[in-house]
Amino acid sequence: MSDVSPDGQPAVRVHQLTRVFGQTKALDRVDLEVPAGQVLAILGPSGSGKSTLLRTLNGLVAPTSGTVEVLGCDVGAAHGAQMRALRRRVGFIFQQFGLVGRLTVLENVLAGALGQIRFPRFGVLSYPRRLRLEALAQLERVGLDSRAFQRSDTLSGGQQQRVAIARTLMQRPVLVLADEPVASLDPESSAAVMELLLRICQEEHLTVIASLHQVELARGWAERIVGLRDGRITLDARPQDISTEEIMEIYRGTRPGQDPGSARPAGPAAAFTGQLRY
Amino acid sequence: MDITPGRAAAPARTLPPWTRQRIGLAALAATAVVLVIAGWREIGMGVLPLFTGIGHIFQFVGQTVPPDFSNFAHTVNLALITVCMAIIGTALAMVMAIPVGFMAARNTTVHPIARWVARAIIVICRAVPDLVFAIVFVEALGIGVLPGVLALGLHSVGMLGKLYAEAVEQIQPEPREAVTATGAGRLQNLATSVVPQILPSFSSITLYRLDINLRSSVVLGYVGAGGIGFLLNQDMGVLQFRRAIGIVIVIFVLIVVMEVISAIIRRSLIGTETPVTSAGLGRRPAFGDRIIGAFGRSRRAPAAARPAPARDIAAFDRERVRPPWTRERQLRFSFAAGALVALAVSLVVTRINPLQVFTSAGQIWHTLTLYFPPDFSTDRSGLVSGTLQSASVAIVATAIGFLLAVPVGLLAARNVADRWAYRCARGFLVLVRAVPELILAIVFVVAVGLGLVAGTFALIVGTIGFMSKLVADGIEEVDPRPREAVLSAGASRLQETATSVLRPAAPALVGNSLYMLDVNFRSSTVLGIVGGGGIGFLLQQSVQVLAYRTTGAIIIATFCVVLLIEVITNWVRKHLI
Repeated sequence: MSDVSPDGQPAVRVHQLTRVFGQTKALDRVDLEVPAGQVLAILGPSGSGKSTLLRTLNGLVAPTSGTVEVLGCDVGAAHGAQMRALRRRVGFIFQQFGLVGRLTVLENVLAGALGQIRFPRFGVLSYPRRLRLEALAQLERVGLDSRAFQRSDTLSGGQQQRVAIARTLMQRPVLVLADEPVASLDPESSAAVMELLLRICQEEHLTVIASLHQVELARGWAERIVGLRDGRITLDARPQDISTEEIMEIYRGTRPGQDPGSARPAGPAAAFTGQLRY
Repeated sequence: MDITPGRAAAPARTLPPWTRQRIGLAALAATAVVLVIAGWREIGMGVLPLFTGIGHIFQFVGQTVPPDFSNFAHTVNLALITVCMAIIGTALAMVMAIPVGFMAARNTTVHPIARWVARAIIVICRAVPDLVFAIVFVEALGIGVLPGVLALGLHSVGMLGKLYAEAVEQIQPEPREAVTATGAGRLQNLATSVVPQILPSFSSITLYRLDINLRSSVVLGYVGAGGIGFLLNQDMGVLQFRRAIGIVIVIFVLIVVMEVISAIIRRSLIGTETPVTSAGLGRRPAFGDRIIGAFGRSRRAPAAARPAPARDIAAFDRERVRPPWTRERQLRFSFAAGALVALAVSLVVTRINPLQVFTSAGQIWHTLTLYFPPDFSTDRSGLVSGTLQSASVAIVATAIGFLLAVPVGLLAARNVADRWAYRCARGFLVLVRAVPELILAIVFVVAVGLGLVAGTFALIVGTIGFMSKLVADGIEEVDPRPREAVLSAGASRLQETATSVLRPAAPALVGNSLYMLDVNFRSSTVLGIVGGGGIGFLLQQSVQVLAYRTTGAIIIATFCVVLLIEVITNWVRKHLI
């Protein structure tokens, strides 16, 4: 586990990030720094701001205030070509897969290459052969190459998420954001998909930030766990330093032993800065 | 008896509370009744003339048999031109409506102003009847096919743009977000994540419009826009009824054949799709999709039917990574090729030079200026009474048509009627719909004489044909589970239909009849041309005496009424239904 990337830059640096939707504060002065190569899990009850946080990292949601710096790019200020260039390097895996159901599996994977090429594309054959071969190779990695020309809405949920992973790999990302990647899957495919995602990310030395709701799953593979509640970071620890019960406290909102002398930050009131390094 | 002991003192409340919605609905119902009665008296409507006029009908029919097909080749030739007109007009409308639809859709528009402009275009194109466009273009370009094509094209942009925009707004947003996240540009994203989702709806909507345009193109011939309607008008004008009925039979066959063809295309192409509207998002399907569902049964089709077998797909050329020719892909390609060939053939057959639109732009502009400023003063009383008459015709025809369409619709719904009733009702509807309203109007003019009553009867029949289909479709979408529950509570069949079928379908029924009112007002302008009275009669007169500025005034009056109906019905739909 490296502290920082070779160039010394953290992959993600979020400072005093606030995002307001109408009356609700989805994110409230969040500070977070993620070193390159780290595998981070974000936990928290629904509505705690997990999805919003991930979406601000690749510019799908603009910050209301505060700064977001991803891979050396100021996401809040980027737009147009600059934003697209950033997104190309940031893979995003969605809970609902985000596949175009009527398109073939291969064409969905090829969509991951759109950032590298110009002009709109219609149909598999409108992509250069080099990219078609690469897409097929990525499908092979997730074990679905035989389904390349099947319509993607005829696949099972777990298979669809694997296609989405192949699409993300097609971008050749440096950072992978995953928003509840296995929440729509049954436990068996959850484990398989998570295992696949993690293995590939390790092979490629990718930084991973994934929001999850299964605590055990997060404990199993994350190097660091961040807890969100009501838009604030309430927990930031290594899984081996913390018990499942303590993690579960994010969901209840109160933590036992909230004494000032506690080594770990406690509750929103602790005004935790997120500057912990591992 | 009070069953809640704790509240023994409270008076039992058996009436539902008067919510704002209930008050609004009651007011709407009361207004409707008042308007129908007022309209009925304005028209001088009665059922009696239908019976006394039966002798006239027999007499008329006697004059038409045997049909005279002596000019058969010529008739078929003109019928083909009519089809070509509809095809080119629809293609033209599609080309114009696609950008309009994308701009008008909330999720793909580039700017709120662009959306506002697109919606204005949609409203204007919808509000001006195609017949009015045809009159203007015939004036500008002379008698021929091109004015008809332009009229169909411009008017259809309204409906196509509206339905396209609805289809775009119904897409699943998740794939779009995902493709954005890969770093794709705006147009790339549109092509990859939006277009594939809307393709089934777009083809279905366009095919549906082609059906409508075929019917309209017959009518447009009446004002000199070429095709078979022109011939029909000539023969009727010189009282050659036997020849005319021959033409009517050709038109009838043409429309039935077209309907069958488009049903087949729809079923093979789109019937296997799950349109985006029913993608399990729990949203109410768009109105357009409900119409379309009534034709292609596309939404009844099981989700993702007939995916190609996995082994066929697994076997592809891995070196070249080319998609295999699955049945679905073959179908899609042959449909696209067929459409292009049909368009090319149509352009050749009608000898339309598309460039002529641009070369004659000056002429069209000059003609338009003739209508301005509109002259409202010369025949003010005629204009007011004509508008009122047409509105009355539309209201009465919609109301009566609705009352008759509900039972017919029930018979045509497969989840209510038994198999034979269902088949008969559906067959009846196809036949009724195949007779253009114009021809119905001619028959009724013969039966009850020139005037509003004839026009009203024609519209009633038209309404039954159109509305029953909508009713039947709405009913087939009713959730079957409550029906079971009501039946097991011991309800009779009639009670069960009333409680668990008609009640849940009621909002859709009201919405559809409001839409019908809008359509009927526009149709009533058309009927005036063959003696159905109302504002259409004035329009016809003013065109004949070349009183352009009066024509302009009539067009604007029509436009305003259509707009008013649209605003009211939109408000009602939004707040009450």
